[in-house]
Amino acid sequence: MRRRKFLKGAGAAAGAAIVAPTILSSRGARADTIKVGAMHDRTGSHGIYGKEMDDAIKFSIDEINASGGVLGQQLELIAFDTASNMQNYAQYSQRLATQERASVVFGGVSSASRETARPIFDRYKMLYFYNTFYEGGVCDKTVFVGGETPAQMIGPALDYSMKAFNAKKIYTMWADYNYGHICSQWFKKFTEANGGEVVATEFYPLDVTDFSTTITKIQEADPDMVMSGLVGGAHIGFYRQWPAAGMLGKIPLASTVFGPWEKSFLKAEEIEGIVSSFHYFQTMKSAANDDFVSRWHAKFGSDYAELGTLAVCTYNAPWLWKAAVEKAGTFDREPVIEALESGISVDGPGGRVSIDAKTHHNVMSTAIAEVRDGQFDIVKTNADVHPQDTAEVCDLIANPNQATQYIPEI
Amino acid sequence: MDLAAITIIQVINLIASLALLSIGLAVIFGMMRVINLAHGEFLMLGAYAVLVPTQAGVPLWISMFIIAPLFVGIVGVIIERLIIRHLYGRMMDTLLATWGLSLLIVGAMTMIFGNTMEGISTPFGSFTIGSLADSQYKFFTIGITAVVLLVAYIVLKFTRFGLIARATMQNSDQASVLGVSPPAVYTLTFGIGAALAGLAGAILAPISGVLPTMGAAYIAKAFITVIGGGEAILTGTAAASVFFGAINQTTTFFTSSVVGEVALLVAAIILLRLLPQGITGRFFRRGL
Amino acid sequence: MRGLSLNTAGLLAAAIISVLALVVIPQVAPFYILLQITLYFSFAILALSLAFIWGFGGVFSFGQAAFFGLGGYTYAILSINMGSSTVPLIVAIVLPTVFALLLGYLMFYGRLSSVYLAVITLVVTLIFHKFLGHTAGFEYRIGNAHLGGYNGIPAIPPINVPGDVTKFAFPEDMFYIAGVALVIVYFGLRWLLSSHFGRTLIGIRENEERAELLGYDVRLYKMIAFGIAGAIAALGGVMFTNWNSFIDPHVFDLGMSAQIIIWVVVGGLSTLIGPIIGAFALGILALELGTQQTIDVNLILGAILIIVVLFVPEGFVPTIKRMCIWLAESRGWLRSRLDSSDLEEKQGRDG
Repeated sequence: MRRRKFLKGAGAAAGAAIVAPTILSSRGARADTIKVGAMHDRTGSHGIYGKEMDDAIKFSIDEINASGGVLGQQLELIAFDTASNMQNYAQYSQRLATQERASVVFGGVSSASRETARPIFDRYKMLYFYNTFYEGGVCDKTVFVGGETPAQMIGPALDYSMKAFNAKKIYTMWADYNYGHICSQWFKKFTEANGGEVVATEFYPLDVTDFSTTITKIQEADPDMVMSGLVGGAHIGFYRQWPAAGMLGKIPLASTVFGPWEKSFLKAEEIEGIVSSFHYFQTMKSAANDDFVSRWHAKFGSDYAELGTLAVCTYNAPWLWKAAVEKAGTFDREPVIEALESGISVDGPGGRVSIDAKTHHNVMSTAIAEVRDGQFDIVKTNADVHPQDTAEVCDLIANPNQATQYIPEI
Repeated sequence: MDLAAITIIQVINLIASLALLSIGLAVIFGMMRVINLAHGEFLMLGAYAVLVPTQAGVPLWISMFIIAPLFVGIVGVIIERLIIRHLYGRMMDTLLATWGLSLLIVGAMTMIFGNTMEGISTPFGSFTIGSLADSQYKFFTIGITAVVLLVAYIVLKFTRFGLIARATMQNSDQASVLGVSPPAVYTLTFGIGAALAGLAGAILAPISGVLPTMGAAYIAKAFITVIGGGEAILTGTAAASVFFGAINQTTTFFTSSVVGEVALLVAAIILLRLLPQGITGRFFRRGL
Repeated sequence: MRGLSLNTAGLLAAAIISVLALVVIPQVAPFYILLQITLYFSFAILALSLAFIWGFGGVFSFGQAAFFGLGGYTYAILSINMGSSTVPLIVAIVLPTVFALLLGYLMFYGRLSSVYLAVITLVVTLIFHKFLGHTAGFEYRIGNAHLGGYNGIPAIPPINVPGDVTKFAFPEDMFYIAGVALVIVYFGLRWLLSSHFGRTLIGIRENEERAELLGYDVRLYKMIAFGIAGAIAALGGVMFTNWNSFIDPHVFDLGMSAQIIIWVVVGGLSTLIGPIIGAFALGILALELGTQQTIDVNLILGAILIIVVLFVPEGFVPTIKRMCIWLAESRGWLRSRLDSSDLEEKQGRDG
């Protein structure tokens, strides 16, 4: 009984949006520029990921404006540095929703930041794009995800590395927050489906810097492969201490997170052979990518750090939105969502990305890379990988009134 | 057996790193009653002071043993002259000012170096015991810590500066009556404390990711070690490092790293409740 | 007391300002500003808890954030499980108070010196931070509430009218609830500080030995004061949790603990109005700095803290007040009350 009562209350709470329409009614009808919001951690613990995302959103909006804007109107970008602080996410989300009345918001780096912002955008009925690779499962009518889910990253990479290294016993280590916990569940599921076994699942707080105990434990367990889902600045210590203990090359190392961000801290000889998988690597060979990188360097300087999938997924999102707005012929949220669900796609630097209507995630190609001489060497590409994990549980067409995140059940 | 041997090496290494990370803070706290909350940032500056010259072509050992301590030491002297000097005897105010300093240094370094910077890999390679391998750098850390503690002991015990420093520590009024200039001693002490932090940061650089926010991961541990150790700089730091290091590493090994960290914190509370003056308030009272 | 003393005048002014603020601001300020003020109300309550225990109790606590967060988490967990907010609200204040009393017992009856007190309170806060950050696993569930690790707990049911869950507080109602809570805490503390208990507490701060020789049980007084400060911080935590229906472990981190100290130091340690102003001013400043990217936010906050400690060690409110009184006296406006204002000034700093 209590529970039902609560649900009723929660339903009413969702109705808190009643106040929103009166405040937001004028949105889209004012002025000659369209406000677009962005929130990324340029500084703080997630600054190593957020900086290229923040630059990417600026770059993307600039290019859209230079190409004539959206529906003939110029975009005004309001970008905040959230400094890896969740309270900032809450405050800036409220500001973008109720003060600036932005037409769309791009942003969020960690899962925690997305889960802080998402309820606010749900409440004020704001269109929101989250462009970081993450643990999967977000199923929310007003939210579109531009980053990879575990099925898109872990699935293909695991398949590849289990074959390449003939690996059956896998030792896994994860950052101790939702990303790590949920990914570890998916990982276990995928490994078992491939006939392998996860021999250990360890979680590390984000501020752990010393990994010697772990490295010893790994040697004791003697797995065929190690999977790292370590995140952030402090955890870089692992990639330094692993070769220092003479482990590099002895046991193959793969990662769900390791990208140019971690790589920029490390020497080529420390990371030889690490396998990772994303939608985009700067080392991809294609005319679109070459062009993108040279445009980027023209804007930010040719000494800009190596770009990663975070920059490209963030760059693509406004183009997807632009395509949908132009298809809908309006900036209003509901027609734009409808248009986004109608199979919008764009050709980005990493290839074509299209929106999957049921999950609001992207269908995209993913690449598997192995570090060779300090470069991500693309060893395999899979076209049109679907966010299968989320698709199994989420259908926003059949059941549009959802604003939730599913977690895997094992 | 292999496992036991490796584990013992790791425990000793952790104890040594804890002592090395804390000694600079301990010198400043023990002699000046100043809690330097910018200590983590001094470590970070030390790490950068290794990275930048090394990448410019300076040999690693020169940047590690000369440039880093010297640079951070000079920064320490400047900070002492500009800020700390005006706040002696106001422990809470120095704590706040150094905390402000910590924010300021992180901000400044973020503006100068950004969030990413290629580090240096760990020198020396690895050793193996039976089937288990680990980094030889651990022996280096242990060795350096031993040398630093030994040199500090000799300086405090046998040199004129050591005598003056100890006198100022125990009774600064009387020392100044006897012709010692406490301001000069304080400046030098703060500089030495900072230089030791710089050296610790330099030793840390090749085993961690160097970025402006790295100090935050160490400050709480160093703080607790120094307070847990009590007033005697060397024996206190050493004893507290052994105590906390052993608890942390053993718990981590048998459970997980979170439990290890929580165990360290709980041990700190129990220790302070039982020995409100720190370990050296009760034991090794006549230590340095 | 002849005529209107400064204290009474201040009390009246504070009362008028609070009523005006609560009535006028919602009429003129846009919705977004109301939301932000609501947040700063909850921070101001937290700042008052430290101002009380540190400025008047003489106990430097690095751990008010622990009670703030504990209050917030308790409210979140219970209200998710119970639906209605009445019981959670009470427990969310009682539980941290009991915890503060226990911790106070441990520290004050152990006769720890001030630095060690600071360390213990900080360590307790860090333990909460580590533990709650570690609760992302699916097994960390209390009833229907998943603790969620660093992601925190979202969708926390709002405060409702006791007995009727359908009448709950909208975000703009939280403005009044948090505002009234702040006003109650402020005037409650003023009353408490002028009571026998408060004066004894200040006496203990001034000279602990003397108070003890006069027969006061110093440990008991400090423990009770610490419990009261814990209750106030917990109330702030409940307001914070309701502000955005959300709480996460960052409320326990070192930055939060230190932020509270900055509010109090910048505003003025031995006043009550100073910390409130400090919480507002620095909160707004930090937020606005995030909108520009030329200068790092930390750099500016750090510089402000250093400058205040060096040049305005009493904090802005007492310094400005002193300057005003000095100005008034030198112009002869306050001459007739010179003696009493001196006295009040001293009292103002003491209580």
